[in-house]
Amino acid sequence: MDLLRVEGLKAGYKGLNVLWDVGLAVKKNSIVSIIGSNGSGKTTLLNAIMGLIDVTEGNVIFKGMRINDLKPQERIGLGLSFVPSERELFPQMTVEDNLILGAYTPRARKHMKKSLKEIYDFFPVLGERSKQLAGTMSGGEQQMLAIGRALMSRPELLILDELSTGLAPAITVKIYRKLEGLSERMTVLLAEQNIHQAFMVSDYIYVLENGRIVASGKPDELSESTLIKSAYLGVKA
Amino acid sequence: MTADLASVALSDLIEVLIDGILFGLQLSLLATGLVLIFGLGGILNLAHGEFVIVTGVVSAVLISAGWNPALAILAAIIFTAFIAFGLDRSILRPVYKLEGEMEVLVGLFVTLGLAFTLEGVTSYLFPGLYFSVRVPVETVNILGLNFRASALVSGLISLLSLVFLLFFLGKTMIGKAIRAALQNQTGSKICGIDVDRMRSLVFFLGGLMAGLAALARGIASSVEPGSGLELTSYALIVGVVGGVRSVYGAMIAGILLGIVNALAGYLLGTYLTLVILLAIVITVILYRPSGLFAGGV
Repeated sequence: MDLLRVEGLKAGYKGLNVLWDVGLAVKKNSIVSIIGSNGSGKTTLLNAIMGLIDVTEGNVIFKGMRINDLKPQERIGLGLSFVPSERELFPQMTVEDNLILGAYTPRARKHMKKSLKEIYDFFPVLGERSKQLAGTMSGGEQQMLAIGRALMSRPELLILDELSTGLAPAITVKIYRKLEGLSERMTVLLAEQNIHQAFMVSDYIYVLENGRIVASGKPDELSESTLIKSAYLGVKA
Repeated sequence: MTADLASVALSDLIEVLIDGILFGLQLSLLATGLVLIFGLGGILNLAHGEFVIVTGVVSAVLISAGWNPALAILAAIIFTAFIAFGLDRSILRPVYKLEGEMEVLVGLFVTLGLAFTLEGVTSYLFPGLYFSVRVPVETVNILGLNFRASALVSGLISLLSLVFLLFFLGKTMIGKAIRAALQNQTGSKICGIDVDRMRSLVFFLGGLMAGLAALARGIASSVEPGSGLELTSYALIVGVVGGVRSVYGAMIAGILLGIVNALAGYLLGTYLTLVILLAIVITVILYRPSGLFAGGV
C-alpha cells in the first residue's frame, strides 16, 4: 500500500497556478525523489502536501485518508514531517528548544526524551551545541538541526526540500549518508536539484517540469532516458 | 515639584530611583502584553490600556456590590483576560485575513474604535468611579530611606507577574510554542503548533498582564475611566524602545523608562516627563528602529 498518494493535484499562489494535474505515489520504507530545475514547482508540491498552501483541485492521501482539508499541524499529528528549504528554525531559541518543539504533538511528546537522545546520537554536533542559539550555527549545522527537529515528531513520512541548497558538498554527502540509514525506519520524500545525490539514494524518482510530472521511474531506468540524459546528466542524446 | 541638581541629596536620588524602578515594573507589565499581541497577531492593539480600565472598573463594581475585594480583583483580572481572548476570536478575525500594511492599518483603526467605545461606555456608565487598593502601612523605612509601602507592594506584584510570565514563556512547552510562533510562524506550523490557538492564548495572556497592571496601579495610585489611551501610549513607548516584538526588551525598557520618568519628573517637572519619553522613543526609531533590545523574544 502507498503511504502517500497525490492525485490530479492543482495548486499555486494567489490565483496563479503552479502545479498541473500532478500525481505521485510513495511506498512505505522507500526513498522517493522529485527532481526538476529551479522553478519547476518542487517546493510548491511539497508545500501543498504539507497544507502550507491551498490545493485547488485533486487529492492528497496519507495512510489511505484524504487530508486536503487538514491544517499543517494536523498533518504533523498524523505522522508527516517536513524540512523546508529555508529550514524555518527558531533562531533566538537554543538547539535543544528547537528540537523539543519538534516533539510538540501529543503523539511525539510522550517519546520526547528518547527521541532527543536518538537525535543527539544521530547528529552528535547537536548534542555538543545543545545550549547554543540556533541562529548562530553554520548552514550545515542548521540543516542537521532542521532534520533533527523534523525527526523529533517520530514521522512515518519525512519530507525534505532541497537538502543540499547552500551547503558545502562534503556536508551534503554526510547528511545524505545519514538519510540512507533512515529508510529502514521511515519513508522519505525528497525534492532535490542535485540530481546525482537524488539518483544515489532514491528507490524511485519523479521528474517535474513546469509544474507537471514529465517522467518517472527507478534511478537505473531513468538514467537511460534521453530526457534525463540531455536535460540533467549533461549527456548529449 | 522640581529640584535644583546641585541641592539634590543622594538619599533623595535613591528614593526617586527606586520609585522609578517600581513604576517601570508597572510599565513593563503593561508593555509585555502589547508586545506579545503585536508579535504574534501583527496588530498594534490601541485598546490595550482600556484592558487596565476594564479590570479597574469591574473590580470597583464588584467590591461595591459586596464582594470580597481579593475575589473581586481576581474575577476582574480573569474577566479582562477573557475580554482580550474574545477580541481575538471576534472582531479581529477578519483583520487577520488581510496582509501587510492593510492588516496593520485596519487593525489600528479597529482597536482604536474599540478603545473609544470602551472609554465611552466606562465613562458614561461609571462616572467618578475609581479603583484603588489601600495598603495598611503608609511608609516603610529601609536602610534609613523612606519608601511608600503602596509603591513597594505594587512593584512586588509587578515583579512577581513578570517572573511568572518569564517562567511560563521560558520553561513550559506551551510558553516555548508561543515564543516559537513569535519567531517563525511557518516553522511553528511544521512542528505541529496551532498558530491561531497560540495567538488567542497570547491575547489572553496580554489581558491577564493588563489586569495585573491594573492591580499594581490600583495599589500605587488609582485606575479610573478615561485614562486608557494614556496607558496605551506608555505601553507603546516602552514597546517601541524595547523592540516591538521582544518581551524581554519590553521588560528592560519599562524599567529604564520608569527611571527616566521618575528622574525627569523630580529634576525637571512632571509636566515634561511624557515629552522626554516621546523624545527618547523618536530617537530610538531614528537610530535603532528595531528597538534597543530587539532579538530576544
